[in-house]
Amino acid sequence: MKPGVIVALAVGIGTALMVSGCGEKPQTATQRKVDATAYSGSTVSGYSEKGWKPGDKTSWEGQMRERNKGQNEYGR
Amino acid sequence: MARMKFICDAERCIECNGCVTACKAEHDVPWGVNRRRVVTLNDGVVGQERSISVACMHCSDAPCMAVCPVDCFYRTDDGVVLHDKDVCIGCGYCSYACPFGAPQFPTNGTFGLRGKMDKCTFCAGGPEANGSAAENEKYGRNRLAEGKLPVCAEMCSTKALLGGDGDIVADIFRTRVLSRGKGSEVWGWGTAYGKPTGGKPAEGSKA
Repeated sequence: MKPGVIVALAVGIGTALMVSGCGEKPQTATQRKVDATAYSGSTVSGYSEKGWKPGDKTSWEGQMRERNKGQNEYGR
Repeated sequence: MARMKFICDAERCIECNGCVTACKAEHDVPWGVNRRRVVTLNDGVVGQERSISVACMHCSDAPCMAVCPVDCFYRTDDGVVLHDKDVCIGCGYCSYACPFGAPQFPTNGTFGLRGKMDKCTFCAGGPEANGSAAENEKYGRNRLAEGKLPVCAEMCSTKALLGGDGDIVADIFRTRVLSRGKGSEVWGWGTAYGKPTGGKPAEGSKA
């Protein structure tokens, strides 16, 4: 291996090591955020189960009840 | 309003670890962090071996919430205990307080750098917008906001693990017990959802 390549490699590795800490995301202490309710629905609507209307609490509870009962094989 | 709870039927659990695998895959949980795990009691003792699937039980009176020095925990309207990772300082107090060993801490490097706490979210994500990329990155998928139940319970092959509205899952379990005539003990139920007992084991509880 040529000396120039070795120097270039060493400089490259050294630089990578030096800036590795820069990839860390800033972590600022915050107040606890307010969470949206589950029945308000997901922003990714493609995965939402059909048969209920996001934002409608009664509809969501009905959907959950059906889903819950689906775990009971005695009722199938 | 529903109160979300987990029940693990020790008579049915076959220790397949499907719940563990499903949870890992659904939420992209890193190595070293197990939101759910299967524990076997009386391993190898004929007729007495029982397995149970354990994760955060989303306790009625959650000890993790009580001891957190930065108050990062909160309870949703559905009774799910969640936490804000932007507030968590990774102190580990919740880990000592939890009777189920639910809080997990990602570690890496030779000196075991401890990260922010991670635990089962009942597939309800975190305080970020439901289903957002930020929520997914920190807490995994938010199935409740999609009208679904936790993936561990829904994919359990023997339906040993039940998750959902406490009244409904308790009814399902009661029907089973009456039908088979045994196995009425619900591991961890009294500890998680029973009345405060002043440190003594809850009545009718196996934990």
